[in-house]
Formats: sequence, structure tokens, C-alpha cells
Amino acid sequence: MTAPTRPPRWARAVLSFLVPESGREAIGDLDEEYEAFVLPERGRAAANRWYVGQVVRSAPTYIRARLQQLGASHADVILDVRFALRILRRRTGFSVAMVATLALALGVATSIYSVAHAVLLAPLPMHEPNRVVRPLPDELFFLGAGEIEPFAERMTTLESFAAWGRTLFLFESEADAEEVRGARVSWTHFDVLGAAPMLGRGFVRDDAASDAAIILSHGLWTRRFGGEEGVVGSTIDLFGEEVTVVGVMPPGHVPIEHDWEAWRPIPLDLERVAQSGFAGQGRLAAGASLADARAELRRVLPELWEEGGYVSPPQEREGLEVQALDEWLIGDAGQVLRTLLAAAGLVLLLACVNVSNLVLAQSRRRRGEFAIRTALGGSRGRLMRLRAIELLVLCALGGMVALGAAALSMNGLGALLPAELPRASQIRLSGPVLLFTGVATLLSAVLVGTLPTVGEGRARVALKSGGRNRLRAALVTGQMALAVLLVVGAGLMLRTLQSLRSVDTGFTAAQVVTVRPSPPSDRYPDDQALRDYYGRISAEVERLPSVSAVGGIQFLPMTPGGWWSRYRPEGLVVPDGENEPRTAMRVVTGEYFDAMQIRLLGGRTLEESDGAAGAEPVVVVNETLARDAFAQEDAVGRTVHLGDTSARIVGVVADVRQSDVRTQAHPEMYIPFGARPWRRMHIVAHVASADAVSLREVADAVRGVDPTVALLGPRSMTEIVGTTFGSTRLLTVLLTVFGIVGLGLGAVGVYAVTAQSVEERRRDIGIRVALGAARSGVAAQTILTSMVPVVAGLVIGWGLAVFGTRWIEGLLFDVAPLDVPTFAVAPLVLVAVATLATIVPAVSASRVDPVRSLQEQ
Amino acid sequence: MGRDGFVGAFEELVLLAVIRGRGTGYGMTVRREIEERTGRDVTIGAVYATLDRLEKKGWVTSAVGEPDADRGGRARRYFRVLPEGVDALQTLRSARDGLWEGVDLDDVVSGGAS
Repeated sequence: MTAPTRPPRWARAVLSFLVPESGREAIGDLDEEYEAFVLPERGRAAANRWYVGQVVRSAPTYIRARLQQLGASHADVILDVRFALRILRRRTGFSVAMVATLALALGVATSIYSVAHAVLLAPLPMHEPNRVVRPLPDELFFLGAGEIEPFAERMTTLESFAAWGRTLFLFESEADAEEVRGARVSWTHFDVLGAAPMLGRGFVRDDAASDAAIILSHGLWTRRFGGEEGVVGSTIDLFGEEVTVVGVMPPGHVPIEHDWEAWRPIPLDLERVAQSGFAGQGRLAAGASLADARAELRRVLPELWEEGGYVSPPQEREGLEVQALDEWLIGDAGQVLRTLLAAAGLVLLLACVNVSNLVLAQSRRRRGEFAIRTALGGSRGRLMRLRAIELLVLCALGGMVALGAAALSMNGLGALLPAELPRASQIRLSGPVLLFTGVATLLSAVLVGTLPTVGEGRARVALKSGGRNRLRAALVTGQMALAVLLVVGAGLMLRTLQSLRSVDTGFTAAQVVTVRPSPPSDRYPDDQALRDYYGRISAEVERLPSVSAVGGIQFLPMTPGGWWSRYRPEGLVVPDGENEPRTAMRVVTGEYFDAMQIRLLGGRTLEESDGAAGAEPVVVVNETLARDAFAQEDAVGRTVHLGDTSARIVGVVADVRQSDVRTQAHPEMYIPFGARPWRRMHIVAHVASADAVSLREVADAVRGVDPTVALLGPRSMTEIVGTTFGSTRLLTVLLTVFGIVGLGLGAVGVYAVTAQSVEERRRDIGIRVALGAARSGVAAQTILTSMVPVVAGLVIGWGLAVFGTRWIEGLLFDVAPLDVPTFAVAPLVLVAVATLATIVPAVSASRVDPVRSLQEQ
Repeated sequence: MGRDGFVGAFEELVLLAVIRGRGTGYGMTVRREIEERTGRDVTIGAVYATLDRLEKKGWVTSAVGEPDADRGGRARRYFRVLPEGVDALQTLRSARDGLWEGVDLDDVVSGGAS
């Protein structure tokens, strides 16, 4: 790598910003000295320090010069700013209310935008990321090791293609063992992605030939290797295998799956490839579209099938798709974020309306001040400018507080984001985010400034306050309409989350603790060793007093992974050219069904003896498989054929949602662990309460069997289920917050307008009370009058919501976009809040003392 | 900051550095000259602020050369001292010489002449 001979870019940018147009030579002088003298004499680090020092120490000189220049030409503007600050300081209550309202809304908008920018808008750190595509879905697009190369060659719409298969790497040290998710990838993997390591190099063909290279993620490198550069090039022990660390990816690298932390090449020697079912990604050839690639994919896979390749059969070709990698990585988070941005925009609008209201109230009170100024010769233009500057100063203060708040909220926000969201960890107040906040602040100032002046022209005509009141009523109407939208959105998402939580997943997550050991193959080389190991674990965990049932399964519901198989129910004849039906295969141990509280619908569950050597092969199936295979008849006692073996169905259990809460169950077949031992089993224990204590107890019991075996977890099943809610939780939490903020802002608006109008009508009220009007009548009338614009806003907002909720239809679950309870309750909530907001002013209206109010004039 | 006709301490250094450049001095050489001869670490900002001031006083004049690719395409601004600047320096020097006459700093330190 050649050292750049340029000074630090940011420092140079700062200098260019500071130096006036007439003094540009100074930049050249510093550049020249840096390159010609300082760099060769002192080395890069010292030279950069020198340069930065020059810039930083020159800054005051330049800033002073600029201010002097500014002072000469804009002296009165500076005066006005000072004056505005003085005025704002004098009206502390008013200023704090305005700044806080703006800061709240701008802070919300800034935080959401920072997420949207990091996740959606900033391009993936790859070369031409929009050309990287993925064949999908995983159930249909998979290649055997032998098909990777033929596939890549035949796909002419792809300039290059690289395959990958998920795997686990076991990193061991004297202190501990850690299981790391990663992948075996074609050695061209990173070239196809257009991503390069920050240290060392990418894979080359020789790495695939020798099969002794590994690339680490930045996170793994810092966590396990202390970020030592010396690790690159060194040999590490990867569970008995010597592999060389050839590179470290940069921190911003976006892996295909979010939790990959290490990569090894798929060996060229196919004999060594134990895995099958490779997925992959390709780079579109110049001029090729997604549709071209899809058409070719649907043609090439059946060809490979005809030739006996390990790919999905031609009948399923219609399901094959090609999707841009970035789109696939972001998933439905894109729509979630756009929805949140829209909601944040509504909150900002609401806040602007509120502030406009306050400004309007202020301008009434300051009519005297402005009259005097005009009388003393203050020009109209100058007065307008003074008020504009006041607003700008207010909004700028609001923007600054918002930035501070947004900076503080970054961590909390990051925790709310679903882990699989790419680059969720890179959310920060970057330049574009600052720019966004700046523009939003300016727009707010314009909005706040123009809303009241729209009314002012009319007010002058109306002479009395009629026009102004109508404007204020209109503002309340607008606010209420916006608030309805926010509350309805929040309501729909709360209902969605509730539906997700109440889905019958087929198992009970509460009170379930799970942990997964990875017994290494050198110490647990065969099936018998694994049977013994898991047998001892069951015995140890069962001994815990808090545990009432313990079992195990190879693929836990709500976690990735799967094993599919073809099966044929007895009596079914599959016509030529058609396929046998597919089922997911689950290997289970012990009391799995009891531990997860999966209902038994018929027959019995599996027993320890079912897996014993020489025992009759038996399976348990789920409801869907029983129905698919045997329709209305009882499946218990029937036989299913799996390839050349057969098994008797001994029981039928309820369907379990396997992949996530939203997805319906598919056919499943449970086979006893004894008959088909599996290396990595999720131990599942039913405990009295899934708290930290039982988590540790269960993990300790498993560890007690063999302390050197790496464990994944322990985790509570509730936590695992929660992770599959993904962006729904984020959307719900934030929309609810926005809804509450919207309600609050709306209530403040209603309150302010009502209080104002009571204040203005003191004399009228006084006269009416003097003429014998009942005080309760006065209060009631005040409330009713205030409710007119509120109700108008509700109706408008309701109408908008009817159309608007279609936008989030795809994000809802088991809730209609026109959900009746939500649409019924939202207006009621708003009316209640608005009424509450009018009570205080109404009571004060009823207490008007006729004598005093009449004397005041 | 010196008034017209009066030379500030930093102005004196800058003027002398410009003179030493013999008409080929520009921002960088002035800065380096001062740093090398006096050991004072001065900033380019301060040098230019002073040069601009001296130019306004009519003591130095400057001319912008051709843009130079080695300097990121930026031209050099060459400075030359005008007779008025030389006069000012001379005045300063004779005033100073007059004051120095008969002063022995060793005496001051030992408390002799005050």
C-alpha cells in the first residue's frame, strides 16, 4: 500500500471552509510545505499532526477575520439575533415550551432518519451493490458441491457466482470454547460481493486447494484475538485443524447472514465437502436484468436435475426467484422505516402547528410592542426580519437540543432494532443526518413563521379577533387530524403485536429454557458416544428440582436450520414424473413434547426404548402431515416410507409453528434420537420459572457433563420467540411513542386555544354571568365551542386514516387495515383527551367575576 | 496590533522574513524562515493575517504567480517589501539602537542600573 501524500482530508476541508476567498494561497502553502518538507522530514503521523496543528491554531485568526467582515456588513443582523435572544430569555416559559416542543419532534425525526440513513439509504459497502443478486428461496435453490461450477458456467446472465453453506466454527482456548457462526464459501465469495478485507488478503484459489485458510470478521478478531494485527498470517487451532488466518474483514462489512463471523473456502477437493445444499450470490452481467437472471435460473436448474445433480426438481421451477442482495438483506424493514419516517414527519407537523399557535398568542400580546416600534419609525421590513430571526433562533435552539437528545437515544434505539437488520450497529449522527436535521429545522421555522402570518392578513381585515380565532380553530382541526393518524397507526400495530403474541404456536414458550452443546467429533466420534453424552445430560438436568421435564430437538422452533425428506404414506402411488410429498424431519430426545407442552392428539409420544437398537422404527407426525397423508382417517398405526426404510406412526401431535410466528406449520415427522443421533441438539427444559437462576442452573448442569464442550445459550424460549417478531416490535414501540406524543401535542394545542379564547372573551362571559347565565352553563359552552374544531379534525383524520392504513397493510398480522376496534377507540381516546384539555380553561371561564371583568376594560 | 508607522514585534519578524526572501518569498517560505531563524512555531493563519495588514499599511506588496499543480493547483502569492516598509524597519531599528545604548543587561540582573 502506498502512503497517501496528501494531508488529512478533514483538516484540509476545515481549512478551506475557514480561509476567505481572497486568502486561498494559504491552503497551497500548507500543502506544499507538508509534501516538500514536513512529510519527508518527520514521517506521516507527525506530519499529519503538524498539519492539523496548523489548521487548528490558525482557526481563531480566520474566524476573527470572518466575524469582523460579517460584523461590518451585517451588524444589524447580529444586533437582531442578540435582541431575539434577550426577548426569548425574558419570556422563559414561552421559549422553553417552544424549544421543547420543537426539540421533541426534531429529535424523533433525527433518530428515525439516522436509522433509515444507515440501513436504507447509504449503499452497501460493496462494489456496485445493486448488481449483486441472490437466487431464492432456500427451499428451492440449493446446489450440491458438484453443481456449483456447472451452475456458475451456465448462468450467462451472471458475470460471476459464488456459493456458500452455513457452518459453525469452534474456537477453543485454554479458558473457553466458543461456537462461531460462519460459512464455507466459494473462494471467489468476496470478489463477487465486491468487498475486501481490511487486513491481509481475500481468498485465492490455493486456499480452496489447501483448505487451510480462514477469514475473520472484525468483531471476532477484536473479541477473540484482541485486535492484534499479528494474528493475520498466523496459524490457529480450529478444533484440531490447523488453519491460517489470511484476512480480517472491515467493521462495516455486511455478511450475507447477519451473524456470520468467519469464512473458510469450499475445498476444491469435493471428497472433503461433507456439506450439501449450497446457496449463493452472483453478480449480474452487464446488461442483464433480474428478470433475465430469473428466466435463466428456471432453465438451468432443471437441466442440472436432468443430469442427476443435487438440485430441486423441475416441477418446482416456478417458485425460483432472483432478488437483489440489498433488498433481500433489508427485507420488510424498508417499509417499517419508511412508515416510521412518515410518522415522525406527522409528529413534526403537529409540533410546528403547536408552536405556530404559541407564536400567534405571543404576537397578540406583543401588538403593543410592535405598535410602539412602528410609531418610533421601525420599518415594516425590519420588524418582519426581527420576528423571522426570533423564530430562526428558536428553531435553531430546538434543533440543537434535538441533536443532543438524538445522540443520547442512539444506544437505546440500536437495542430496539432487529439484529438481522444490516448495519443496525452503524447508526450515528453522520454528516447526512446532521444535514437532514438542519433542513428539517429550517423547514419548521418557515412553517411556523408562515402559518400565523397567513392569518394576520385576514385578521387585519376582520379588525376584531374573529379571523385569528378561525385560524386557530383551523390549526386545532389540523392537529387533531394528524393525531388521529398517529393514534390509529399505533393502535393497529399494538393489535398486531397482540395477535402475534396470542398466536397458537403449538408450544408454550413460557417456562422453557434451552441450551445447545456442540460435542466435538474427535472426542465424540460416533453415534454411541453422542447417545451417552445426551443421555447423561438428560439425567443431570432432570435432577434439578426446578425442572419438570427435559428433552431435546435438533432444530428448535423459531431458529434457523432444517432437514427435509421425501416420504410416501402407505397406499399412495406416486405417478411417474411426480414427486413424493416433503416433510421436515425432527430428531427428538426424552420428554421433548412434555417440555414444550406440545399437545398429543392421538396415540403416544416417543419413548426412550423407541430408539434402541433393533427396535421397530416408529415416528410421531404432526397434524398437518397426518391430514395431508391420510385425510380424515386415523394416522396412528399407519406406515410411512422414507426412501427404502419404513416406519410406523405411533402418535400425532399438534402443529408447531417452526420457522416463525407468522408462518403456518408444514408437515413434520419426529424421529427418536436413538435411531438417528444428531451431533448438536437443543436441550429443552421445562422449569418452574424461566429466570436468570434457572438459565444458569440448566447451563451448569449441561456443562457439568463435559466442561470443555462449547454451549450456545442458555436462552429462554420466550426470548427466542421474541426475536422473530423482528421489526414489528420496533414499529409498535415507536408508533406507540409517536401516538402518545401526538396525543400530548394535540392536547396542548386544544388547551392553549381554549385558554386563549376564554381570556379574550372574559368581558363577554362577565356580561353573560351578570345577566344571570349559570356558571355550569358557561363551562359547558366553553367545552362545546372548543370541541367543534376537535370533532372536525377527528372526522378528517379518520377519513385520511381509512386510506392511509392501506400503506401498512403488509406489516399487520391478523389485523385488518380497517380494524373496527382501532377505528372505534381512536376517536374516543382523542375526544377524551381533548375534553380533559378544555376542562381547566372551562372551569376558569365559569369562575369569571362579572364585576372585575367589566372593570378591566 | 501596530498603528500606522509603528511596527509590532511579529510584524517586524514577518517584514524581515519577506526581505530575506529577496522578492521570491511567499507564505510558506516566510513561515519557514521565521520558524527556522527564531525557533518560534508560527501558524500560516497568523502569517497571512500579518502580511495582509502590512499590505494595507502599504509596507509590502504582493503578486500572484501561476497556479502550481504540486500545490493542489493553487498559485503562490509572492511578497516584496516596499520602500515605506524599509523606512519603518529602519525607524524601528534606530529607535531601538538609541534605547539599547549604554544598557548592560548583566547590571539589570544584579540590580545595578535602574
